[in-house]
Amino acid sequence: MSLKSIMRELKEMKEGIGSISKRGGESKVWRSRTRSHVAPDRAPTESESVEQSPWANLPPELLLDIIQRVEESETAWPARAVVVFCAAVCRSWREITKEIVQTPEQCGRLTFPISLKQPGPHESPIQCYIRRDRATSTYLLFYGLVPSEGESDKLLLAARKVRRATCTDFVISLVADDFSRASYTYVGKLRSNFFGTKFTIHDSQPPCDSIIPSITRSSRRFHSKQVCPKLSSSNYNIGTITYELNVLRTRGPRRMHCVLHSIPISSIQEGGTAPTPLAFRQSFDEQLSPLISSKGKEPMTNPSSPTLPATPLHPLGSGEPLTLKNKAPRWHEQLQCWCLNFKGRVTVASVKNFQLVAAVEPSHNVSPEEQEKVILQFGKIGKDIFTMDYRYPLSAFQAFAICLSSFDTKPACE
Amino acid sequence: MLLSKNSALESKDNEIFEVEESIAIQSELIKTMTTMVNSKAYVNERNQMVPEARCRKQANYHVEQNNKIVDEELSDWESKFFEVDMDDLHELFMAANYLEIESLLNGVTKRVGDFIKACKNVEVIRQTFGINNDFAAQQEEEIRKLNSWNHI
Repeated sequence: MSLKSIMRELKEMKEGIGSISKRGGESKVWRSRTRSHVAPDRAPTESESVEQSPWANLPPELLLDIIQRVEESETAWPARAVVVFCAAVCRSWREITKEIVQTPEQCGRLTFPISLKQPGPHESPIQCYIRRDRATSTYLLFYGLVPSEGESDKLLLAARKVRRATCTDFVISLVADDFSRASYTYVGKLRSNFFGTKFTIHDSQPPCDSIIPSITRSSRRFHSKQVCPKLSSSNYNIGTITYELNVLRTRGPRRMHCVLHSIPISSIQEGGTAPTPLAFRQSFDEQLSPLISSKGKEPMTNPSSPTLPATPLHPLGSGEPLTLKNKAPRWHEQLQCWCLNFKGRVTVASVKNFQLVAAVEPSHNVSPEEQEKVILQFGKIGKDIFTMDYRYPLSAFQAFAICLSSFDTKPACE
Repeated sequence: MLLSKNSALESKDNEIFEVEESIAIQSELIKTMTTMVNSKAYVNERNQMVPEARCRKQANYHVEQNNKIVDEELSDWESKFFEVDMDDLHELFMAANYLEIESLLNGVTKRVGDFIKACKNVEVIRQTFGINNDFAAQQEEEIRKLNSWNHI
């Protein structure tokens, strides 16, 4: 750029100031005229929004910088709640916050409620504990290694046991004071058969691989003000857990078998991915962020990008589901008991304690490292306190449901 | 002839003030503009900054920053510097962004972040920044209900 052209540009800018301020004045007039119009009832778009603080209309890169710093500095609960607050302030803040926050698989942290339905990290498991309240038949899942002093731990999920004529239900909710199935906070349930030998996990929302999200895709064409389809209270069977007596030693540990219908075996093959829902129910966030379906070697779409179209969805059941089994404990001759290496996370012997690993055949092509990984570990550390550690491809919700089944098995299979 | 080490900066509201060149070039924008005009120290070069009305404050920011050697003094001074109301803070923010002054931008970003972290819930954040709730009614309802997870 030559000196002359720079000077000319500077000169034009100087002259342009006058016209810019004139234009600014004009646009102010335009805005006030728009405000007095009687407009059809629509959600305000950004350009015609009512008087909004400049803090809501920051340049995106600046807002991103602010919220990113907040997110990076508040990694632990309860302080992390502030990140969720940022996503609830206004639309621009919500968009940026959702862009910044990564899934538990990516960053090992739980942030939004939907984090509870997303797979955990591959390497270090997410460590939680469960507190049982026998008096109210309630089970509370907290984030943290062990109960901390002062009871300020983050409550993740709550379950209430409801005995019915021929079965038992564990209703799972985001909060401990509302177990209504019609509530926004209803997450799913675990149902056991009469004998306490077979359990089914039900999710309040369809897994990513079902055909039902196609309805969501078409509803995305409607304006965000469109009345949301009535929140369905149906449940989707996403897993089955069975317990078998150990016939060889009647006092030995029972065998657990867990089939996860919503997670394909390909998720633990090389390059595989697990379904990662991005929003609860038929929420408006789905209009920004598509659901992700993953089957085997399909390229993984970036879950935090709001602009990618939804990947093609497959009917539930195509591709073999992932099956988990409990790791066989070793008989310790000297201690005269069955032992598993819980790496210090379980300290009280109990028939309820278990470690789940993937049940694979050689034909499944799963690496030895993956086969060795303990995907879910559960065990007692005190009266009515149990630890629960889970990792990819399980989510906190699925892990919790599986652990709850351990509470309900009848003496017949112990 | 001794070349003055000062540059004169004119703001949008036609205020002219002199700053030391070493301070003026903390702004990436000014630095770029001046290096394009003249590679040597310049004399009373007039540069236009279109939306800017806070130059003096920023010039002061840098002068003080350079003068303060002791860390404690600096952070004390910095916290006082940023003790302004939200409107002023916003202006400072926009100015620092436009002029591309990284240290000032970092300071403001940190201050805003601290404000956010001190808020106990969504309503307090909105009040602090004067932001209106612009969610559609149903989305607002859903967000509110899901946020009961945080016992807000």
